[in-house]
Amino acid sequence: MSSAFDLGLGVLDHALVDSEGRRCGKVDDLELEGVRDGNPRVAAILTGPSAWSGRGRIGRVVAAIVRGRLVRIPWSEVDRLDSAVHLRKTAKELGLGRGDVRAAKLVERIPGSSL
Amino acid sequence: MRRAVAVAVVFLTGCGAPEDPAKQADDVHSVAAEGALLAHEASEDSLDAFTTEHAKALRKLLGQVRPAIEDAELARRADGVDAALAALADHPGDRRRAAVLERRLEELAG
Amino acid sequence: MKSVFSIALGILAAIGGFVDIGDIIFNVAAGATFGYQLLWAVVVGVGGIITYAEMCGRVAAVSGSAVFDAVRERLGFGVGLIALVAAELVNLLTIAAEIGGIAIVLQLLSGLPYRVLLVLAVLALGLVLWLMPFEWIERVFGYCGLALLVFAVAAIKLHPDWNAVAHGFVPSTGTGNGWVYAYFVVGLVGAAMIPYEVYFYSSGAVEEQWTAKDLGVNRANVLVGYSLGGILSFALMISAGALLLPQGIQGELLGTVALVAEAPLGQIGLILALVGALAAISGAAIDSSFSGAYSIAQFFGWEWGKYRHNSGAPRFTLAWMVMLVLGFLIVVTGVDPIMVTELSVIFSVVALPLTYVPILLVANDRAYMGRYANGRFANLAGGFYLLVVFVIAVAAVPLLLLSNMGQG
Repeated sequence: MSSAFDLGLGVLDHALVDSEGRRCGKVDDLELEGVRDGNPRVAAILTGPSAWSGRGRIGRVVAAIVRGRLVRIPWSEVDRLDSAVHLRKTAKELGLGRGDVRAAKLVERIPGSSL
Repeated sequence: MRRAVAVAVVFLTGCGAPEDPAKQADDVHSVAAEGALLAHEASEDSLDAFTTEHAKALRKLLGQVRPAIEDAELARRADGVDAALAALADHPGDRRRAAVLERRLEELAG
Repeated sequence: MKSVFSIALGILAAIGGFVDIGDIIFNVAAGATFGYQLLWAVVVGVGGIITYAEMCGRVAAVSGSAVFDAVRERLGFGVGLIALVAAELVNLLTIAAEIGGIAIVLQLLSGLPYRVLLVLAVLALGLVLWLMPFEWIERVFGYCGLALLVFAVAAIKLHPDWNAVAHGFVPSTGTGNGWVYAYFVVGLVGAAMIPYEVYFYSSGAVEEQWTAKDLGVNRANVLVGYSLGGILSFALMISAGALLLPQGIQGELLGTVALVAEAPLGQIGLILALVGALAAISGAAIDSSFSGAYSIAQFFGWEWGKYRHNSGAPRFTLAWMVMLVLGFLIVVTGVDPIMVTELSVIFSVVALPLTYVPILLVANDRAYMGRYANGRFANLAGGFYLLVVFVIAVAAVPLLLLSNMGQG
């Protein structure tokens, strides 16, 4: 359905929020299917630094410098859309927000990190 | 582009060292007048740390203008202001001295 | 639904937190150079920040998203990244200027060496940010900043020509050097509308977990708080104009600013001026550090906010620490913090369009705002100020050069 497709395009660069309300990245790119058979759909959301290589020249340069992962979130995992994309599962289950997990190990070493 | 950068660099580094004698006179007057004000406040009991540190800051400001001054009279005045500020910085709590320095700086402000 | 008391407290914090080192320096220098002739420029700036802060607060309350979230959506990844980099570079200059300002005020109070005080300032700021909850930070520095109201008393006690003061509120081309006058107009409007303020205000609304029910609080904070905050700016300019201009004293040192309060009011004026400046500049250092961290976290989709606790938003936490350290490194080189202040304001002005265009766009977006999207008045004011912002953004650097950084 073209309206679902437009909706999908409309979420590009919007925030991803998991089922617990945690922010876990942005919609960095979209995986489309069915474009050639005239029935375009958004198959999946792509997120992570590698996904920036599809976002123009600046995106390619930054993706090459940062060299991060790519996480593919099937469109079926999307719960609802408002200003952000709300997902059905937690960030951990989807493999998102790993940067925060790594950074937390550093921050937790300092006393008072739960403040 | 390179020329623009060069102009910017020259401009930024040259900032604060005016060549124009009228501007120099204004700067010396400004420091002298402000020094007089500072000395006045010190004579009426101010915070010693403030008097010392601000007098030093004024001396530093004067020091930026002083090297470019060619007029002998203006240079003499600037040196007088500098000496008065130095005395104020060294004796911030001495109210009577501050009153004397205030008059001196007022004279030099012209 | 917040009580009237709570709203009043918020307004007080907004007033006390209104000025930062850029406002202090530009308002006093403008007073010393042009007397009361530039008061209208402050009005323009205050009107601009009221208009856009209201929008930012509304966006955050209604959508739960802060303004920089929308920058990437509105401008795309590439242009958005340019906007982020520009915002962060300019913000770093601001942080550096504020940290330098704190050290100068501490030096005036204590006589301790400048560089030692720089280290002390950064450590103290870091400690406060690490330990204190968001609201406490805003309230404490906001209330202490109210000490700057001493300049309102000073202005009255200095017996300015109130007729001339009234004339200063009417826009004019001023007397004296035209380039310097224009430079001050740009600086005064820029200092009032400096980008970190709107990024911080909108993120702060999310930190305090505002909802649509808090739109009234938002309006009160902004309309009453920022208008009254503008009075602090007027007071700085008027008292400087009354005291410094007649004596031919140029007003570009923080010690000079303090003297302006001491002359009519004695030692108590001096102390209130220094303590108020310390609080206001420290608050601004905190706000701008957080603003830098908010922006990068919001652009990349990291979890963010003091309300998530330090370990709950670890990349955000590390980001503000890095911002503080980088700001410190800039100013520990010994560069003159007053010059850094002026440059930070002028370069912020250049970046203003990149800041304000996305805000106006997202405030009009029904997907974000539902029925709370901009009405006609908000769009009129928003559009007018966008025009102002574009004009001064283009004029900023040429005027910096033509006016010899306000020296003439």
